[in-house]
Amino acid sequence: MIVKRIARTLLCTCSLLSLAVSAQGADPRLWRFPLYELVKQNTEESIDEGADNVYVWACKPGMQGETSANASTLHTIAPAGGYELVLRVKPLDFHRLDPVLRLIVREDGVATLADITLAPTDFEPSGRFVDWRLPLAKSLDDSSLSWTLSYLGHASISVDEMGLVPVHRQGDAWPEVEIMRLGPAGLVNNSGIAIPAEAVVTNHTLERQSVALSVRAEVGIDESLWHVRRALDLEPLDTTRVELPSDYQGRQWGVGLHAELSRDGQLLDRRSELFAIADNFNLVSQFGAASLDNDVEHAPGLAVGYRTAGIGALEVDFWAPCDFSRLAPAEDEWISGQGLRRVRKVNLQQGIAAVRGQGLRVLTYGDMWLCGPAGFEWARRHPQQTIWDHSWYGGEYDVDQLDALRAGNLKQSRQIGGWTALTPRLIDPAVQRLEAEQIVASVQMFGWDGIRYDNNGLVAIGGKDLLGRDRPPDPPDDTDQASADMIRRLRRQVAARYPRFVFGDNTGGRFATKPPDAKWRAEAADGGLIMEEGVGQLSAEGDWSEMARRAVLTARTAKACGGYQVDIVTTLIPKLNWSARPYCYALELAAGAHVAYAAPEHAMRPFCLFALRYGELLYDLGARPLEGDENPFQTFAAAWWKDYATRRDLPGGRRQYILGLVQPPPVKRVSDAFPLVKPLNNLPVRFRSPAGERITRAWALEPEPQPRSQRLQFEAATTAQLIVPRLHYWTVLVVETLPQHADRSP
Amino acid sequence: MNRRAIFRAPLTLLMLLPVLGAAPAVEELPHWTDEVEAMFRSLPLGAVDLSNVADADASGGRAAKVSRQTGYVNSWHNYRTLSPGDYRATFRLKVSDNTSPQPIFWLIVENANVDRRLRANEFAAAGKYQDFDLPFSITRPTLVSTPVRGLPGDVEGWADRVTITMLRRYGDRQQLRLLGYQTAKFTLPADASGVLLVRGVYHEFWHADEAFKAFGPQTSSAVFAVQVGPALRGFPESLEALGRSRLVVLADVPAAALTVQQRAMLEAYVEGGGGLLVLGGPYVFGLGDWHTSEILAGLLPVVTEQHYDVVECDPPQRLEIAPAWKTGQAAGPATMPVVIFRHRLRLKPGAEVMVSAGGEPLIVAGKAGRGRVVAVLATPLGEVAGDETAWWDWPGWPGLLTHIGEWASGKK
Repeated sequence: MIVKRIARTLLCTCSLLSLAVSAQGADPRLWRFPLYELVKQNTEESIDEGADNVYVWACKPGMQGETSANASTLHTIAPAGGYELVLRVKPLDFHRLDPVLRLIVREDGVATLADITLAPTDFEPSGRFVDWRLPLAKSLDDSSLSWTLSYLGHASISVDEMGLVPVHRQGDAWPEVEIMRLGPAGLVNNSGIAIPAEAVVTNHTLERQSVALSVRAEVGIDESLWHVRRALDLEPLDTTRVELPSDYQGRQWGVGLHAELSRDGQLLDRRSELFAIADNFNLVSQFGAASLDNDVEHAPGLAVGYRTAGIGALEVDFWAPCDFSRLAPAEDEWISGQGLRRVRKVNLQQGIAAVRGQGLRVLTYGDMWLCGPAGFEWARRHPQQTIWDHSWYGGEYDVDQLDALRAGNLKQSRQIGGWTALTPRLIDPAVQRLEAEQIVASVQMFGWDGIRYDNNGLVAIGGKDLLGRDRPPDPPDDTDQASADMIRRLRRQVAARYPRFVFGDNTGGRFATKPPDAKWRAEAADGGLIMEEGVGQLSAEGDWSEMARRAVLTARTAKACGGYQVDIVTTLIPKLNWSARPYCYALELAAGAHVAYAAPEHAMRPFCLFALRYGELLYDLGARPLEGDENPFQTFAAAWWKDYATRRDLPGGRRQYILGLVQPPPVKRVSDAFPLVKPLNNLPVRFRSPAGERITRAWALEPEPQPRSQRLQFEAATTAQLIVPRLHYWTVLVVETLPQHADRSP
Repeated sequence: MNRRAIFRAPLTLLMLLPVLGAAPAVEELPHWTDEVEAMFRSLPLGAVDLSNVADADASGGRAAKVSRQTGYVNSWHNYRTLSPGDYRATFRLKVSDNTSPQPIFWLIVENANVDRRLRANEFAAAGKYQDFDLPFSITRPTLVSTPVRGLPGDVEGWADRVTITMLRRYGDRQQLRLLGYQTAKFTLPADASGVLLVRGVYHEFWHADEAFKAFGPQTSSAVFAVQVGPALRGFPESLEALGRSRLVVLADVPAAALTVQQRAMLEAYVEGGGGLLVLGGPYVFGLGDWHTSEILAGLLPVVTEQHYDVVECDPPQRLEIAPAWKTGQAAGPATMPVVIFRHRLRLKPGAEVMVSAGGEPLIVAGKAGRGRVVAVLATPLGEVAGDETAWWDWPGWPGLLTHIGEWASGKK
C-alpha cells in the first residue's frame, strides 16, 4: 500500500513536471509512448503538423507486418476504471476503406480489452495529426496494460504516440488530492433496500490539506436527489471516506453521482459515477456472457471489467453436467455436458460471488436437453419420462463421446465433438416439477439471479412414452396454451422462493411475422427476457435499415407482452470496421432492445453506461410507441427517427415524449466498410404538443463521449422548434409536458 | 452455440411422427403432413404479413400465400429421414385464376431430385384446393424436405399442406438388389477368436469387458446418431475382418445403425458360423425398428413385429435360469436379481429359453445357419427400490454373460 502511495505521489510529481514542460498545456495522460522509440526504424522527422514528438513512425505500403508493441508493466499505477486510449495519427489517404492498423490492447492476465482494425477513413481527415480515442475499461488496480499496434499496409499513415487518459479526469491536471472512489459497491442494486455508498478521498502530497467535497446524486433527467457537502482535513498521504445517503425510497433506474473536490474555491478534482437500482437488470443493463468456472483467479478482474464497462448482467453458459437434470450437482468437479469443459464447483461459486459482489447479475443457462453422461443416466433411470425417438437435437448421441466423458477424457471428447442429448418428456407433470426443483436448487447452490432457459415449455413433443402409451392419458389439444401454462407454473414455483428471479429464453431466429403465440407471450410476461439470434444474423446482403427495423420490431413485440428483447448482434462486430461498430449498440438501444453479448472489449462503454443511467427512456414497459399521426415530432434532418418515438406517463400528469435520432450509416449493406462518421450539428426538430398539454422542458441526451444531458431552449409552449446540438451515432431527445392548466412546472 | 434456431423447423413435425406398430403382415405405412408456412421475410414496422394468411378452406385454417404483393415466398424446410422405399409427396394448393399460364408454384422434394414447376392453368378450378402428387423413390436412408416456392405474379396462390406418403417400403433384399450387392459365401475360420463389441448408449451396464475377458482380443465399434439417423463407427469393413471375431455383441444397437450391406455381412457371418449376442435397451429390437429389417429380424430367435415392445415389470421380476443353463458360476448368489423394463417378444420355433423372468422369456437362444444367436430381452432401464438388486448390479451377471457368450460363440 505504501509503495503504491509513493508511486502515485511520484506519478503526481512526474505528471506535474511533464505538464511544466509540455507545450500542450495541461496534459491529463497517465502515460504516453512515442511510437518512434519503439519501432526504431522507418521513422521520419515530423514537421509541424500536430505531432507531439520530433520523430514519428511513418508507415508506408511495403512495410506491412511491422509491429509496434509494448508489453511493459509500467502502468500498474493506473487504477481500475474507465480510460481512453489516445492514438495520435496522421493518415495520408483519407479515401481508403482497407484497414491500415490493427490495435490489440490487453489487460494482462485478465482479458483482451480491444482488438480492432482501423482504416484511414476512421480518422478525422484534417491533414494533421489527430487524436483517435478508444474507450477502455481497466479491471484491476494492479494489472498492467499492454498493446500491439500492427501496420497492415494498403495506405500510408504516420503514428505519433499512444496515451492513456482517465475518463473522469479528462481535461484536468493530475490532482494532488484526489477522489479515488465514488458510489456504492454494486453496479445494479435492488430497490427498497439501503444502498450504502461512499466517496473516498486521498491526499497524495506530503502536506496537510483542507478541502471541500461536494457530492450530488441525480436521477431521471437533471433531477437532484440529494446533495452532500463536507469539509475534509487530510493528513499527508491520508485517505478518508465520506458516507453518502443510502435511502433511495424504492426508486428504480439509473443514478448519477457527481463529486467535486475544491481547495480555497479552486477545483482540484471531479469524478462522476453511475449506478442503477433495478430489480430486473433488463431495466438498465446490456447482456454479457462469461465462463466463470475455469478461471477463478481472474474472475474478480473480469467482474470489475464488466462493471466498469457498464454491463450489469452476465450469463454463464454450458457449465452444468446436464442442462436439464443436473443444475445443482452434488459432486465437486465435473465435465459439462454441453460445453465439454471441466468445471469445479467451488470455482464457479467463487466466480459468481465475485461478479455479484460488483453488483452484476448472473444468469445460468438451462435447456430442455438431457445432455452428457449425467443426462443419459437420468434418462436411464426415468425411461418413461424420456423421449427416446426424437430426431435431430435432443435425439442425437455418440457413444464414443459418452464413454470419453465417463472416463474423464476431456481431450478425446472434444475431438469427437458433436452433440449428445436426449429430450425429457416435459408433458409429464413430474418432469415439470423436476425442472422447477432443479432451478431452485441451483439458485441455492450458486446464487443465480436468473436463467436463460432455452426450449422451455416444449410440451408439444413426446406424445407416447417408452411403452407406447399416451402420457398423460389426455394430452392437451392446444399444446401452445399448455406450454404457456407450464411456463407460468414454473415461474410461480421459482418466484415463490426468489421473487426477483428473471426468466429468459433464446427464441432462436424467431422475429417471425406471425403474432406471438401463447408460449412466447408467457415467456415475455412479467419482465421475461426474450433472446433473439436473427437480428444479428444478417448475411452479406443484409442492410443496416433491415437490422434497425428488426430491432424495433422485436423490441416492441417483447415490450407489448411485458418483456425485454435481447438481441445477439455482437457477432457482427468482428466483421465491422471501427466506424461501423457503434451501430451494433446504437441501433439496439435506440429501438429499446438490449445488446447481447456485450463485452468490455467492444469498447462501447459509453452506450452501456447511457442505458444504465437513462434506462427509463429506453426500457420502460409503460412507455408506448408513437406512430404516424401520433408522433408529435417532425424533422427533416438526415436521421432515422420515425420508429423511435415513445411516450412515458409520469406521476402528476407529466409526460415525456422521447425521440431517438440515429445518424444513418453511410452505406446500405452491413458488409460494406465506411469512413468516419462525423457528428451532425444543430439539427432542427419540431415538436407539436398534443392537445391539452404544454411543453415544460426539453433535453438532448448523448451517450458519447460519456452519458450527458443538455437542456434545450424553446419558445412556444405548444409547438417548439428544438435544436439538437449534436448527433453522432445516436442522440435522444426528450420533451416533457404538463396538462395545459396544471398550475406548476417541475 | 444455441441450437434452438435449427431445432425449430422440424418441431411441429415431431407430433406427427408415425406410430410404427402395425402387424407385420399388413404393415401400415407411415405418412407425414406439414402445414405450409412461409419463411420469415422482414417486413416494415406495422406491415401486415401477407404471406401467412387465414384461409377457411385450408386444413389448419391458415395458408402460405403468394401474390404480387408478397414477392417470392419460400416455405419452411422441414427435414425428416426417410427409409428406402417408394413415396408420394402431395401438395395441396389453390390459385385465384386457373386460366393464366403464369408459373405459380415450384414444388420440390429435396434430396430426391424431384421437382415440378406448376402453372396456374394446370389447376382444374380457381378458388378450390387441389392435390398435386410428386412420386419419388429413395434407395438409402435420406434426409428429405418438401419446400414450396411461390412465384409472384397477377395470379394469387395459396399453399395449405404437404403430405408425404410411403407407398412401399423397400426390404433389405430389395435394397441389396438395387445396390447390386453380391452376397458372399462365408465360413467362420477355425482360428477366429475374440469378440466384437458394438457399443450402444448403456453398454457399460452389461459388463461385457469383464464377461468376455477370456475370449481373446476384443474389438469395438460404437453407435452414433445424428440427424440423418444412427450409424456405426469402427465396424469392420469386410466380412473377412468381421470373421476375425468369434462373437459379435450388439449392445442396444438400432437396426438403422447398420447399413443394409452391414446387415447382409452380419447375416453371412452368423450363417457361416459366427456367434451373435443382441442385448436389449431403448434402441434395439422393436424400439430399434429391427422389425423393419428382414435380415436382422430373421437372425433373431424371437419374433419382433412392432415398435413398442418394452413393458414395465411392476413389480420388478426376478430372473430364473433354466435348469439346463445353470452352471456353478452363473447360478451365483442365492438371491437372484430383478429386471424392471424388458422387451416382450415371442419365441420362434426351436428357440430355447436360457433365462426367464415372471414366467416369460428373458434370454433366448437360437440358431441361424451354422451360427448361434442369443437375444437378451432385459434392458438396463429403471431403478430398483428397497433391497432388490437390479440385474446389472448383480455380482453373478458377468459370469452368466460369459456362459451365454461361450454358447453363442460355439465354445460350448
